[in-house]
Amino acid sequence: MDEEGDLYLRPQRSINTACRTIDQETVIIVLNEQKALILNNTGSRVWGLLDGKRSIKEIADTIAKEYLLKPKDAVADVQEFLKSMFSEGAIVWEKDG
Amino acid sequence: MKFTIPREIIFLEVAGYRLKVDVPKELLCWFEDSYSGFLVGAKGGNPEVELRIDLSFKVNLTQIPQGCSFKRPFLVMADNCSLGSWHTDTRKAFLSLESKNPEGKFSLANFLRLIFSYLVIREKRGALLHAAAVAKDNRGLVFVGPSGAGKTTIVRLAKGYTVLDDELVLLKRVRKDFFIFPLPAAGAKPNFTSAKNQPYLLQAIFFLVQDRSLSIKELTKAQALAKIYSLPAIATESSLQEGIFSFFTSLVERVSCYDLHFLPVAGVWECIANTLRQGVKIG
Repeated sequence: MDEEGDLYLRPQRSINTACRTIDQETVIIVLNEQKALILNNTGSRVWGLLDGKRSIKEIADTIAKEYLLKPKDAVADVQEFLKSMFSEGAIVWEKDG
Repeated sequence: MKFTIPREIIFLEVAGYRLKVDVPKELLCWFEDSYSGFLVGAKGGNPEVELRIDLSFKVNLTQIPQGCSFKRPFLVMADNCSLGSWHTDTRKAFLSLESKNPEGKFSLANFLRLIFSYLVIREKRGALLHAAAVAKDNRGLVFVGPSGAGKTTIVRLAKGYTVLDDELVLLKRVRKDFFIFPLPAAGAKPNFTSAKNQPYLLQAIFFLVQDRSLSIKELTKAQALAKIYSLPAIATESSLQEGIFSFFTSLVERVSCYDLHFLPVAGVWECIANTLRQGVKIG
């Protein structure tokens, strides 16, 4: 995830998750783990972009544009968010190619 | 000389679900003592479950995993004096109890609770919570927390309320509203007024946090959903999880949820009453 090449990894929501958005906050559950994660508005937007087709770079570009962030900051924020989602078992990675 | 154990057929009804019980006559007194409010007549449609109770359990702790489990289609419960199983695709359930063990009445109560909670979960219309509940004027309040959080303490401090339960609470959606349904319990608890077998409209849910000062804070719907879903599992089978999550989502959209930081003092109930009256954050 720290290498520049990793920006072309395509994150995807794990099939072992379910989510609901209420009042602009998203709650994600990891099935069988009795664990629930709350995402704020930006996190909810990133979660919505995790389709296994968009790369990290594409997601970060979208976030930078929509939330008026510097591209470098958006990449760092998205990477950090995805790392935590991966450690919670909420996402998996699709390799490009 | 008789060669068979005399048996009796009785019917229980909880949360709109009927249970037919084929029981040895010597256990009838348990039902009359503890479940009289839940006993109904034979007429009234097909039962969802037919439970046969036998007194043939022999303890073999090395072979039977203790606790409750659900591996579709079997729901199984075992402890040191009983073994219960229900094939959930059929109506048939069996509970084997150790003869003359007085603890068996608690095993029976637990198995009945499991059955009724699974019925509401399966229909995606309800859930069972480790919680206490009280009611007044047909409206109920639920207090959620782990063991030692103060569930029993807070309901004992409630004046003018009927205690519905201080351990497990069955919630069920009926159309758009959410109700608390009293569950069969193994004997009346001291100082608890026995609850009627009827639905109580769910007014609010409080998550208990023992603290040095008293305060109540309303949770966002997402906070409430995350909290209620993260409670210790009642049903862990993955095919049930999404249904439970959907149920809790609709629940928090309809019912106010609060964090209740409390001390075991009588003033806690004034604080709760103010919150319910004003519908605003206190503390």
